[in-house]
Amino acid sequence: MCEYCKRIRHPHPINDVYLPKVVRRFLLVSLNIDAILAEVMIRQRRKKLKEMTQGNGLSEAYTITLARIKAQKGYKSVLGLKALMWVQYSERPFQAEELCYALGVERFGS
Amino acid sequence: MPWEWRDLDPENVPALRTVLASCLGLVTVEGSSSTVRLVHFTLQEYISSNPTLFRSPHSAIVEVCLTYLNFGFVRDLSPTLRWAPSTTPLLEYASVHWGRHTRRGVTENIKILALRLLDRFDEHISVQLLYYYDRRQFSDLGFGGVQELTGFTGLHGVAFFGIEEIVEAVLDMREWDGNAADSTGNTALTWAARKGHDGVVKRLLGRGDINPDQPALNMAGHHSRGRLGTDMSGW
Repeated sequence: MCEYCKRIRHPHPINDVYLPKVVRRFLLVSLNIDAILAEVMIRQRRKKLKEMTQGNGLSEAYTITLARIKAQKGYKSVLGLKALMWVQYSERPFQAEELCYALGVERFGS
Repeated sequence: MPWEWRDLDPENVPALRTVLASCLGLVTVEGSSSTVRLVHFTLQEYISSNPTLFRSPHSAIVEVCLTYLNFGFVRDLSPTLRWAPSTTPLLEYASVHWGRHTRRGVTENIKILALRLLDRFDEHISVQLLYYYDRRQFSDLGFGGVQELTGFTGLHGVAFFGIEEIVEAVLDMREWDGNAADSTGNTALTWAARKGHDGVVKRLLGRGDINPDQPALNMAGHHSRGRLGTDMSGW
């Protein structure tokens, strides 16, 4: 059994659901790289890279990632935004299962 | 009724993998505890500073919590259970926190859902879960070692949570005995006072048939002047 994912018997691919710290850090970096690559000109990419290494670039990365979440096809965009909303505004941190069930309840009257 | 009271459709519950994939890396799960978190603490600040990102998030959360609590299979659970069964993962959160989210904004849907829940609140499992949670939070609040909370009606509930917008509607729901005490000795009025919900206290006293001179209230007053005051008004 994997050291990190107690429920899953497969080996641990990098995009698996239970992420060790080092992978989460990697994700953060990849968000930044996405933001840098979104700029097409070398000069703009350099500028972006500089911004990020100076610590004020994350908000740009978030804006870009949120736009990408919204641009997803079908229900994925709704699901992604809803999940973010629950994680941000819940009164305490959720367990994975709680979050999935919260997302599975069709709102009354909808 | 214009809508049907549907039960949870298990096929509608997304897989964790799908949820995380939809978030494109902004939401992650901690390996050891399977707790869900934002990828970085700065994302929380980012969302807070962009309030237009989500439209009334607390109302959306309450509507889901209350819809869940009103599901048939939840209402059918024994009200004496002390723990949420493993088959109902959202039950504990919904039971304990719906009131707090509700105080941040009441919509028409929330009102309908809350009144339906509160109508037979003393027979609902969420009361017991709320009670145990509350005891763990404020263990020295003087519940007098009561093992089980009984007689905690919808009127007690709305006072406990301090949802001012629906107090009148709950009062009009049926012929309550406004001075009835639950098994902890608290009435609706003493719960509202204990938890620091002044607006609800005023509305209850405004009805005239509720006795303001209650022994448990003196104790509540004692607490609210003491070190527990701020803890309680945190509800």
